[in-house]
Amino acid sequence: MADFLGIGFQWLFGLLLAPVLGGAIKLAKARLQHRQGPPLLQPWYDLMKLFRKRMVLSGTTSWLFRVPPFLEIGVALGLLLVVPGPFRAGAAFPFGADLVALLYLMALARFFSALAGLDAGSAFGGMGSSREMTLAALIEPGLVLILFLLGFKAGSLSLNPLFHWAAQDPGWILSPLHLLTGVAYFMLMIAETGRIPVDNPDTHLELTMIHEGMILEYSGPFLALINWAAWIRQYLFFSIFIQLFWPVPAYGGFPGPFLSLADFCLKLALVGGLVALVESLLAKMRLLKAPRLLWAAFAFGVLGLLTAIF
Amino acid sequence: MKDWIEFGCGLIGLLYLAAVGGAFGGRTRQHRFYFWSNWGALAAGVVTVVVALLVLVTGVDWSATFQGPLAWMQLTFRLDGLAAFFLFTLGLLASLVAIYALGYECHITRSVAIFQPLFLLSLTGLLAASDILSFLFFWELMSLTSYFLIVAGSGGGPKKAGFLYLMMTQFGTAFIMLAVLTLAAGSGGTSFAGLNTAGMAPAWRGALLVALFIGFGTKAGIVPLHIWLPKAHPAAPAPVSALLSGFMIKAALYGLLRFVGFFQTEAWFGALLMLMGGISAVLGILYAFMAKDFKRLLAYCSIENMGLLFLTAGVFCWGYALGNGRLTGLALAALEMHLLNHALFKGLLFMSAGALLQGCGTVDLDKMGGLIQRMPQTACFTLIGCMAGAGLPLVSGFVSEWLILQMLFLAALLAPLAWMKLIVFTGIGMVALSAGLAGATFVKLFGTAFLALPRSPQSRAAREVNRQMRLAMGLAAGCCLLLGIVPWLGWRLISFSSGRLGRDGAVASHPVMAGGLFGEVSGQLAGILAVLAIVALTVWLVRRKLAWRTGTTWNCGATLQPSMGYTGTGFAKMGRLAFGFWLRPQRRVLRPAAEHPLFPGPLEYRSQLPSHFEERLYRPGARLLLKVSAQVRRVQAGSIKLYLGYILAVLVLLLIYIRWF
Repeated sequence: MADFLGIGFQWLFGLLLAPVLGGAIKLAKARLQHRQGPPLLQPWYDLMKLFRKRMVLSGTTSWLFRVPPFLEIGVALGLLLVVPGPFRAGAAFPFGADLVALLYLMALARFFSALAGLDAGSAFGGMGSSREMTLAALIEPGLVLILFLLGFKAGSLSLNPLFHWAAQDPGWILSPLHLLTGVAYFMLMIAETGRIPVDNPDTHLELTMIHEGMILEYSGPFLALINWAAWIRQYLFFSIFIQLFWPVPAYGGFPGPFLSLADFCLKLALVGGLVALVESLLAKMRLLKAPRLLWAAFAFGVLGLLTAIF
Repeated sequence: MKDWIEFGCGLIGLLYLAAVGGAFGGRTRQHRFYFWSNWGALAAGVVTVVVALLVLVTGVDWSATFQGPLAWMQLTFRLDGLAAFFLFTLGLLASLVAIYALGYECHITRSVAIFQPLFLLSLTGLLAASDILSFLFFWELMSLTSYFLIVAGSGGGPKKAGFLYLMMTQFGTAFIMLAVLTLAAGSGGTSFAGLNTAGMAPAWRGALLVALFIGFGTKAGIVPLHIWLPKAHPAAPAPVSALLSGFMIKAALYGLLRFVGFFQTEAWFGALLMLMGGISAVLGILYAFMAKDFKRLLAYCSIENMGLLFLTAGVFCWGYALGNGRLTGLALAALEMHLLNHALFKGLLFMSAGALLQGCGTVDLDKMGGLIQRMPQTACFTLIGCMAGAGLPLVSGFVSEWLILQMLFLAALLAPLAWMKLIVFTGIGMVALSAGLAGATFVKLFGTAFLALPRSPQSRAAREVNRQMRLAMGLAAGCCLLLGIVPWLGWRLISFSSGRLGRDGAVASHPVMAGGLFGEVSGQLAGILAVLAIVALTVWLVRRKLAWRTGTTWNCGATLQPSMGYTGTGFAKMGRLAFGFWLRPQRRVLRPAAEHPLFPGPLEYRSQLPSHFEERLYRPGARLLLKVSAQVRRVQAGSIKLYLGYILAVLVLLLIYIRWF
């Protein structure tokens, strides 16, 4: 019972906090640039407003255009349920979050969004889809390599034992493998969540946008669902980063869960701050150079592989 | 039970022969002959499925021997677990394609109606063959009938493609013959049961394995032996392409598995298969991503899938070499799952290529668009096929890719040496890259063909295809969904098969297959389905609140033109640049002299991708061959006296050889 309460709480926590994390990064970025910035809860205000609006759908589109918002939010909420969070309670489920299933479910949502991008028939959508799918194809080998490598070290491809291994093994933090794969994961995470220097989440210019181009035709509740799902996905990537490379130790006793939660939130804020710092320091990369960044991440992964097996 | 299986096997043969006869039967309408030939093939396909299931479920290994007039003229047949699984896939695909072909009209000539049943018969015989003579006989029959099927398409393209195919397939067959005849000579008999390499030197065994790899790899379309495949498969009529891509190339895999089983497999051979398979997977899907012709794209995608299968076969050989039944069993399971998945979805997609040709009149992705409104059912089935091709959850593709990745992970854990682990991780990276590119490729395929606005008059005038074709596509799509949502169905089938490869106990013991791992994927899918169901329920509840009005697509204020949508070529541009280091795209912008500097004339843009393998490998090879043959031709001067002299010389040399050596 307590397990299911924990899962339920973890799930609610994630889906409520995910947009706030997006807002926090925005705020941190604004402060770093000596701007006042939007309120922390601005993403939630935006979502609420979008949910109340009436939608306009393009007459060119087909039924396929109405699938991705639900699929994206469904996949995001489903993954939020099975990926172990601050309480690491996911093990209570008969099915664990298997890495392959995790990546392929995200690919499912991406596949349909990219199709929806093409559906409206404008050049923007196609451009966004083309870029998103190509970059995803370049991100995937690096991500799979790193995660499989860590799974290889931990002896399992399920996230639960993987996180346990990362939290228990004291030598892990100091190993070269940790540094190499950590850097690679961070680079891939930035690309995957559509942040500078690969993508700019704040603009709608055709020169820069990738993800935004795909969803340009969405409005109202559909847009809200898509944005919410994107924030949840970002939260998940950050959360996996923390639990793999900067693990939350297991706090025992009564205040234990609360300590874990506080620890987790603090680390989440710090990683968000790091991302905001990167975004402030770097300019958006020319799109055609983005593959080099991803190849570089892949090279880090390969180096990690060499340290792990020899 | 044996009697029933035997009766079924005979029936299959008779039905195929009747189907060939049916091709001569009709006379009235143009495609009448194809009609009867297809009913025969459909009946044979259904019987094939039943026979294969009988063999699988009952666990009876059926075998039969036919004795010719002379002692060595002996044909033996045998159906064991492996053959029965391949046979099941073949029967399923053949029946689906036969239903489809009942309604298909483009490029069907009488020769297709004659050779298609013969081709299917040769595949069935190949799977059942249990000695080297019948294997080679059916292998050659398969190559020849498929040649006639490929050149059945109209125009000069298929003729050229068919010639290239014939060249390459004979090249491969030469290596296979070399290897299997040497194997037979070494073991003193042609029956599979007696083949072994016990007395051979390791180097010699290695050479034979490489020859087998070249021979079967050519048929399977493994890079760099693949060049015939993207030309031959699109050239044939759609039902034929579905059979060629859906099953024929897998016959090569079957042969490889069969013959490799007679060797004491060595670890390096597994590594070779894995590396070549991985390279084929990545390059195949990369070229598929670049292709702008629907059928050509599918053909390249077949190279990718054969690559994945060879990679899996590599781990299988490895499991043998290491004596690890767990790994062998899992590899074989992944291989069979992917085999079934690929046969279904590639058959389905080639069928939809034919549907597009019939309903829309073109298979050029750049000229399609907007077909989801005009051919809604075809679009729906194609979408399921595309999802399976991209390995997405809820369809069969995910289950097989999941198994492949899990199997590779297990191989990494179990590999005893560092270089082995390195190769396994290389394989994992290659599978991941090919999976990512497959996602992009299938978004391109479906998105540019079916979505946005129609970009040509043909696609504006497209109409839905007839009932038979839709039924066949629907059944294939249904199978893909069934295997994806209820994966334990496929699992049962595989566990019947892979427990009895019929060699030694290595495969029989595989605790992984007993349930744990697959129970896990089923559980995960159940969880995923539950979450999606909750979401669907929510959607249904809030549906009333989701009101929308219809507007036009935002286009910066300008009117939306069909030409503004992304074409297949445009979609692949980013990939072309990202992988430019390998693809080396060449582009030329022609700027005709304008009449006035302020009013430039039309620009012409040409872009093409050089084929490295043809230019660097095959052209020089062909040139060398021509040069050598020009030299050799001198020997053939046309004088009878000279030829008699040659015969005399050979005779003398032979006598000397026999006398002194």
